[in-house]
Amino acid sequence: MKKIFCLAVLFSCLGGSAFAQRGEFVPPAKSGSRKPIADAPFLKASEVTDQVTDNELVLGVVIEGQTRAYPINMLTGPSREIINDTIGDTHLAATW
Amino acid sequence: MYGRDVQGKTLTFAVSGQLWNGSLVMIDSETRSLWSHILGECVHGPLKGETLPQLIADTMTWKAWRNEHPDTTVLNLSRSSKDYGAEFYTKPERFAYGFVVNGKHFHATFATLRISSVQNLTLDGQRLLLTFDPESTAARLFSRRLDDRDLTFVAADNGLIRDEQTGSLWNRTRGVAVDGPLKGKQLGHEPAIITFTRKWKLFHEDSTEVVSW
Repeated sequence: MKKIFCLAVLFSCLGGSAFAQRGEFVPPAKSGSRKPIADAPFLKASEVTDQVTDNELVLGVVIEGQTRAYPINMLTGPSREIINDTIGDTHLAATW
Repeated sequence: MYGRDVQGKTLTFAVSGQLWNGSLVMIDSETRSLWSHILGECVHGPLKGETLPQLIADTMTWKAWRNEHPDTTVLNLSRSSKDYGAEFYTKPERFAYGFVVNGKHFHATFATLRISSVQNLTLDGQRLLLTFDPESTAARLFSRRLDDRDLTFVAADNGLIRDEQTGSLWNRTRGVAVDGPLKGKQLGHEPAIITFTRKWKLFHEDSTEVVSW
């Protein structure tokens, strides 16, 4: 009887976890992955003409005294949601 | 925004082509492990269980970012077809500012941030300051504990905020005191991400919503 009770408690704990709620990740049979982007071009702010507009949202970072912006309109899209970048000695993945 | 050094290796990420609960799954070229974008966590493959360090990043208008950082560089790729932004301004409740305090999840929607743009929070014992600047649309999370003192803030003129303990004036997006006894002092930045409210709650169903009052 005690054993059954313990099992019931165990199952109710598992059932109530956030992980069960959002569903376990099931890996795909084959990968349809895209080519990574690791050599994206950048402009200086002073060189920007119409590439970025004033009211457009950007993701910005300050790393080792350097600042860099990633316009969100350039980060979205089926094949282009991650920019592999390096600023100073910091390797980062810019993604929104 | 994540760091991509794991176990002494620098990883290179790509879109895996897979989704998990409608959220992007990334793949690294080095080990072919699969990573949840929203969690920054490896969910399958040799690096399963590893997490990527979350870096401090801001989301704001290009105009505001450039004014704050005149020496900035900017990514120069073609624009994706989606004109991202309009929805952010018109349906702010769909977007959340999410963060973790002592392993516990919290979020505020941008609808709330617009109403309460200066919030002094105590979450799980941590003294935090959550700010929103309607002009640049930048949200920020800071520690409001400075030099062994807890500060509380109120809105002041010209988009600045004032601490009630010394009367110093602060920039609300940079967390720097610009006038008064604490001039030059800097509040500590805390990492947070902007995501769809629905997605944040799906991945963190225990998340507590920070509401306005």
